[in-house]
Amino acid sequence: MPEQPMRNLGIILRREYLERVRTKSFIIMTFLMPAIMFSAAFLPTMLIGRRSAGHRRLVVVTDNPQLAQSFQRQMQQFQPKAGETGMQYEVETSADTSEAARAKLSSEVGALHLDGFLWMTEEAVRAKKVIFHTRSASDFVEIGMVQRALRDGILEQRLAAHNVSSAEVDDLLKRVDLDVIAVKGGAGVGMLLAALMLVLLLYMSVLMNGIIVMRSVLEEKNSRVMEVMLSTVTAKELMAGKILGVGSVGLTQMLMWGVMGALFGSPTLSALGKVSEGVHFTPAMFIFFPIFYLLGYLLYAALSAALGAAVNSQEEAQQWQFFIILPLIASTVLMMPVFSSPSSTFSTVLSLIPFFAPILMYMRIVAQQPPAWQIALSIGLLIATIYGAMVLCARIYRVGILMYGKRPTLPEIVKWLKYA
Amino acid sequence: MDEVQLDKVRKAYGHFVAVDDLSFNIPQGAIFGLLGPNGAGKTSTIRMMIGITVPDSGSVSLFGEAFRRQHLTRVGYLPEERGLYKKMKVVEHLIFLAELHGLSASEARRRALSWAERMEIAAWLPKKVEELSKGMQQKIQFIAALLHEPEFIIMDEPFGGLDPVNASLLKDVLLDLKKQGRTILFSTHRMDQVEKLCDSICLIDHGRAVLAGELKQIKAGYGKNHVQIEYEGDGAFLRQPDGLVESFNDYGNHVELRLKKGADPQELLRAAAAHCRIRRFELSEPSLEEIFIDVVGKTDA
Repeated sequence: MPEQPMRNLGIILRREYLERVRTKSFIIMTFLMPAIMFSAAFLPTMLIGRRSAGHRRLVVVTDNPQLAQSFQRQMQQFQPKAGETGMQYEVETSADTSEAARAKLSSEVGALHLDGFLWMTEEAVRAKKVIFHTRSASDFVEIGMVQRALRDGILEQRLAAHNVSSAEVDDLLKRVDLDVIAVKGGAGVGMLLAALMLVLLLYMSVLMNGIIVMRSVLEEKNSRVMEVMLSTVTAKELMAGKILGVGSVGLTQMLMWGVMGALFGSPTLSALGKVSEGVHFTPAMFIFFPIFYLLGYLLYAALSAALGAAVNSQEEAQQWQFFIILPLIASTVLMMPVFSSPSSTFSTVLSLIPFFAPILMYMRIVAQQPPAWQIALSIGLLIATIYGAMVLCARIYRVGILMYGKRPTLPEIVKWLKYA
Repeated sequence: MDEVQLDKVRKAYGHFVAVDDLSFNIPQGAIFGLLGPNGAGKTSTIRMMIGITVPDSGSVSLFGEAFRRQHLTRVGYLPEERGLYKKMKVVEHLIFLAELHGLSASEARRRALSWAERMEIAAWLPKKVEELSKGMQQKIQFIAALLHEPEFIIMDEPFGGLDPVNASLLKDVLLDLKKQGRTILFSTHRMDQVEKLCDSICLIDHGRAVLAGELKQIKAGYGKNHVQIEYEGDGAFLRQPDGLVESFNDYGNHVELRLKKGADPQELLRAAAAHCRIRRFELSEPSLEEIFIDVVGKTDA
């Protein structure tokens, strides 16, 4: 039999790929993931944009009728316009600032007869400490409205004391709208959504496929299939076949997501209308996506394969898994700072570190095309790191897959690295 | 010609020496028993013979040449720790393993079918591995070790976990392979099986060979000073300090004992008959089990 070094690798890769693509979990994930990503990206925006309709009754307690009026007037601007859904606010005033009145209002709020009251006596205003009693203390939208109405109302009163007319006050208080327009090559709000979706998808793919590698190595070890496999193939072929097989499954999944995106993506976006306004993708996003997926996956899969070989049970694996994916999790935490200033030294340095590069360099590419040499350097460093990780992990793997029972200590694993 | 040759092989894991200065030859067409108590280094030795590990010193030769990985397509291995991919279909699993041994998929399928017929397991081929019982999985793995028609077959505890019917099915296949001129290495600590099958043995303990050679010669070397007795009644005669019995092993329904040098077996028979009913009284060479306990017991002491 002539030597065919790649033949065994091919057979192992093919088995790994076919067995995995046929599983239910692959099919479910392939279709479920886009749905999850979609909801994660758009649902919160849609829900916040579309506040539930209803009617709320507030009472303003103050011994200053002008202030009560100003507050009422300011609250008016938050009323939904004709044809819009939203919360209708009914604001009543009361001049009874006695403690008894306060207790009575409190009990009314407790008994659901009233949605809230504002304790806004002259004294409270002077102390700059107005109290808003409400049951929905976490409704930040409502609290925001009340706060603005309160601030503007007090301001209006103060200015009126200096003979400024209420029309002038209105003009003074009118908000200047800030329109953010993205310059070509820069990041807009829509870009942020697209970027978050893609980067999250990248992160999930690297993470999940890495864990799949770990689990399946562990399963091979525990079921002792390893023993018979090693009678014809080398540990290296086995590890490489596994990593490449699972990696190809990931690429297949992405290809299917791409096709789904092309088919259903744009109609869905346009149906969403205003929410998705400004979401747009650039070719670079799609070119670098599989590249950084593959590189990131290879790095974390090598570590995961070594981990799967070193441990003896799922529980043990889970304890260690955290340390391996820690840099990956850190990348997601650093995503926002990098996105907001993609060209800063901080971002540049982080995105060159191989363990962060798959997520953060991709993030920079999405946010604002960095100089080509930086992309090339980060890919080069990544490849070098992958090579080093593969060599070391293959050694741990080779010894680990035949070690059963006892959990290896860190010094023992270091010793494995030295075995010929 | 020697199919397999180990020359002064040594393997250590850290301070633990698993195999120490081990040498043996297996002639082509022989059934060779690699024996030893648990942890003696049997599996470590086998792993060096199929390139899973490399000896620290010494050499392994297969088919008259220094070990190369290409030899592995001519070797069949049934590991002691058995396992298969649970989710795979049986027939696909057999084809997969055969392909790794150099067979084409179509040839592998054809042979898998005929072997499954022979091993009376054909109905299970389309099922998933996890649906099979342990014994059936073992038969599948046995087939997997033979599908590529290896010239050298390594069987690590092949009968463990099999019922007598299937064990004898396996034994017949192995004897058939021997007739075809295949070489078989048989690793076990079950001496009764070795005794029936093996031509020559190597007994190892603590990684060292303590007894090696042709089974017949080894036994002859111990002489016919062993007696097997089956009896009913009081076995107290065994313990009488009358200077006849050197040592004995009670196996429950029979007892095997070694006579002292110069002791007359007829005297023992008379002594025994005085105490109990004798059903069988046989003068014999020591059984391999006796030799095993004798040799291993000594080295441990």
